[in-house]
Amino acid sequence: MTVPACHDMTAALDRVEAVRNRLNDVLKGKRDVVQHVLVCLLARGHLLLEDRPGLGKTTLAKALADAVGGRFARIQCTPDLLPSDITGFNIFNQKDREFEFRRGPVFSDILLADEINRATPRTQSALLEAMAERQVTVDAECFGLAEAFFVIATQNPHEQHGTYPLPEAQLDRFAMKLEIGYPHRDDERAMLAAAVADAAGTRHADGGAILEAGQLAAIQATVAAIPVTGPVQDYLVTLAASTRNHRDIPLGVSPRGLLTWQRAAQAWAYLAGRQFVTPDDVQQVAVPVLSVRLGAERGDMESLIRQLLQGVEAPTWS
Amino acid sequence: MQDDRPAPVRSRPATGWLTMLLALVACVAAEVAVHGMDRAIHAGWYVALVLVFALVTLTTAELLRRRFPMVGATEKSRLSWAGGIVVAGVALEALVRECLNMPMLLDVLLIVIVRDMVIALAILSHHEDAQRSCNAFATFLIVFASASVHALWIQGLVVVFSLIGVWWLMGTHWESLQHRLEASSDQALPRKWLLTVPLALLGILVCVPVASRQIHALEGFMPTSGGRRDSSPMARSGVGDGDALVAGLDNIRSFAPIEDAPFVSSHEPTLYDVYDDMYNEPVVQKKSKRAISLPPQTTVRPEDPSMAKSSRASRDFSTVRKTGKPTAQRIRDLESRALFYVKGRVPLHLKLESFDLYDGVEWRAEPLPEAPPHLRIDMIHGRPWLRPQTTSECDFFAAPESHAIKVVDLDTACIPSPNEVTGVHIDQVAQADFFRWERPGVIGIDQPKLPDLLTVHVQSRIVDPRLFARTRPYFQGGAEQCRQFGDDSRSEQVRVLAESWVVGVPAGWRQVERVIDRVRTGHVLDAAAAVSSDSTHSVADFLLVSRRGPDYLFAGAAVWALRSLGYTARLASGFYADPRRYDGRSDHTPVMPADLHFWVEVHAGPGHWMTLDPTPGYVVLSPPLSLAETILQPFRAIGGFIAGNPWLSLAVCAGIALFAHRRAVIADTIDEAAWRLWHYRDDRVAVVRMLGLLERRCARAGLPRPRYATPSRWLAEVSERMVVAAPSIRPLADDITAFVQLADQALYAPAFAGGRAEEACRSAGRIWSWKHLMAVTSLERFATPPNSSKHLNKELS
Repeated sequence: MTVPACHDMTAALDRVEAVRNRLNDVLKGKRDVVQHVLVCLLARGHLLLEDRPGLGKTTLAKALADAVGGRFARIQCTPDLLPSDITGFNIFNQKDREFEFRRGPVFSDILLADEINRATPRTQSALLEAMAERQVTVDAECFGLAEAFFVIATQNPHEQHGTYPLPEAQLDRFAMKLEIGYPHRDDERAMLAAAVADAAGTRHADGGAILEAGQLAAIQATVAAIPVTGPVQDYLVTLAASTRNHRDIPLGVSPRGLLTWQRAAQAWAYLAGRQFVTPDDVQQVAVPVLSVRLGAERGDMESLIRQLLQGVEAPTWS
Repeated sequence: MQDDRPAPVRSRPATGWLTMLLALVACVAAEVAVHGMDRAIHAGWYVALVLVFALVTLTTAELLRRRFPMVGATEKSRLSWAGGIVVAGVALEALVRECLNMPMLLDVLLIVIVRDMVIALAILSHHEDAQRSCNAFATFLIVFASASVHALWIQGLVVVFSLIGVWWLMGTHWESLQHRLEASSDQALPRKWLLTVPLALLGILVCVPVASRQIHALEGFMPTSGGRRDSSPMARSGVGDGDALVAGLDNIRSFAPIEDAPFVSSHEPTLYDVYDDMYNEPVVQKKSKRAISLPPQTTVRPEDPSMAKSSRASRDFSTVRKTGKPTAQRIRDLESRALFYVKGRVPLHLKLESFDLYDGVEWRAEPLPEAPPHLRIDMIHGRPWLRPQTTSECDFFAAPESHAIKVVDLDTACIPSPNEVTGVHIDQVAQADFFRWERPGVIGIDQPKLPDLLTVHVQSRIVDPRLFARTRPYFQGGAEQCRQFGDDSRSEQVRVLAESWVVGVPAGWRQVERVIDRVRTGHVLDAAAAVSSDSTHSVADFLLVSRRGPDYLFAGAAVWALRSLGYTARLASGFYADPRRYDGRSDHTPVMPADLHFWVEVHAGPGHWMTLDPTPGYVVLSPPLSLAETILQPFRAIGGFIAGNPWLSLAVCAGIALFAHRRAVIADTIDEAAWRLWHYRDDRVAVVRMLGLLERRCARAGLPRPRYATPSRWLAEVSERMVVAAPSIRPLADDITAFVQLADQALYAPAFAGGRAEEACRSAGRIWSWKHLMAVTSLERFATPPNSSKHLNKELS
């Protein structure tokens, strides 16, 4: 894959900015969530949205799929959902007298797994291979997924009855965990007004793909190539070590999680228009990256991560 | 991130305070060991040094902990800090050596390095890892000190160190346990053990030596070099006497001036005559007239009839030796150039002669009074003490103190002794008629000369001028010949001069003090300046013409001037135990022939004389100080200096106050000047150094950067607050953003392409100026502190 030259970066950033505007228009008043969604997308990670129903999770996923020009698929996870419902299955074609593979929703660019914690662990684990290796294996045959395959999974933290909490191995496959939260009063009024305007046809809503085919993959490659200097990598390693030695954290960051953290920091630096990563980038993505994988209690997570960050000195000139 | 408060300052745990205490005790012990209990430095100064050391260390430690909590957090940081302190100490030593010509012995320098390391690590004792290193070095120091100095209070320091060490160990162990226990555990520190274990240890440590001042329990287990019937090549010092000269019991081949040595037969003139029951052969003493018979258990027979002598107070041992098999079978004499040694507080004036009448050229030795005080023997703690009986009761004396005079080779029967002798003790000599008055105030023995290697204990007391309020001295009384004064014109000139010295000074001790001071300060000590052979009045010539001369002229002039004012005074001669000769290793002061000296004695009461010394460079022994006086002495000295130099002191205080008040501005000005004067070949270095400058400036202005925040982010945050406090910088928002980006690039980009970096740095210096930062501090001091998390939240969202 060719990495876009530096002079293409401005144009690419303009496209990403357009995607951001589209998402901000759809999900009003949630700029920070949109920023992290973009970071997760550019870092080639998968996103876990944890919040109540009706806060715009599906809308966000659809708008994102629309903006990046990819295929969108949605799975409503239930206890009777089977792995083959996600990956696809072989069916005997009476006409051709042979088995043919029916692709499941995982063969899309953006997959929304709604209420993932309602699926059985067996079904949840079917997503493991797809998320980690971007391929699925059915009847000993491997099928590659889309280059920009991106999973947005949601779960409702308040209704635990009849759910199957995601295991740590599954959680580690996600790059970030975000909470959308209720919008601000003004944003909610704007949302209501926009709905009326859309129905009346007085408002022209943008639509269509913003990114061209393969452009997302190129940007993701650019992000992955942003240099991270030694002191910043030392800082990352020290932070990771501090998560492993903290008495209130049952599970420290894994090396895979550390790689994800670095990639997210690179994406943050890219969105800031920089060609290098600073410790600030690392800090900015720390909460969503760590909260999905530290295994601590949900309520304490943010203060715990803040405490971790405050306990490690940022590298300077020494 | 919801909050951007500064990094929480790590509090100092209890084990940290214990570590600081351990370091303090170890450093005090090492300091004493290094200076070898130098009596030239008074104990009061040690106490003051300890207080100052503790204050400086504590202040630095707290300052570092609160303002720079990142120092010492990592091993690299600790090494850098401790290494820096040690290097600074060595550099200071080199500076002192070069500038003041005061070299430090190599082994002492090594100990100083370890001491500096202990201090540096103690400052970082709020970090647990630093505590361990600090206490390891402190243990080495205290072991070194206890092995070097044989003093009771050093043992006390070891006990204190051990107790604190036990507490520290228990605290550390408990803290490590706490980390492993469940957070919900309600286990508390077992306080009873905190008290019981140290008390038990204290009991063991106290009971063993108190039983009989000897650590019998350790005998046989510890290697010793003498004194306990054992000699181990592994011992540097042993239980008991250590490397000092010790009395042998078997195979004796040398003799030395030590008191517990056995008595041997010798042809040297001696006080003792050995009665040898074993061979029934009395020793013929050719020169001794009288002798004391001794019981057989205190005598031994020498192996070698020509026994060697050690005339020194201690032994030397060279590690550089000839190769091959040792050939010398006989121990050789250890020669000493000293006439005798003094053990005890110095300086000390040891009188042998006093002079009363003066004819302008010669002083006449004072004859013995017709009825000198009666001498009698008192047994004190089983030892015979000769006591002169005095009838007068004056209450201006300090507590008596003892000195040991160890004679090497002194051709006189007089015992060199301080003024106001109250007791003389020679071991086994329990008969008063073995002593006699040789000179006024000087006791001698009934022998032609003092035997070589004789040890004499002399107890004396000092007239303490501070007690004159209790008993008024009588300076004008005493013997008539000590008030003699000439009626010639030269003596009259001396009287006029002396009277001019004491104008406005109340009569009595103040005038005496003034005369001594004027003689000392107004004349030059010159041993080569002899009196002219045709002089008819050497004292007048000295005081009025030459103003230069040896010590006897100083003393004579002072006596004559005092007599001219009506005070009773006499000239005294003898030896001066110079504190500069004090040998800390052997705890003795040698007295050489060159220490012959003249001084003044002033009549203080019936039969009592007070020693005064007008010669420059010679000091009279001061009365022993109480503990309170010892502690207050240095502070009094400082107060005295301030009182004596009020304007200079005021100027220094004002300068210090001004510096302290404006220290931040001064430091910032120097800092910025250094940045401007430095020539930067690399733009990145210029930006980084400017960042350092701005960070230090922020810290001085009370806006220290949290350790987890990057400099650029912190500067951006501060600039937002500056816009509120100083709106004039609002148009400079682009410059602020540009420099913040430049800073990020300089610190974290693999390649730096900052054009016009120096200009941006200068602009940054103006934006984050001292004035603007202080505006932020001033504004926030009187308003609700701004929520500094706004900026960070904004970035996050």
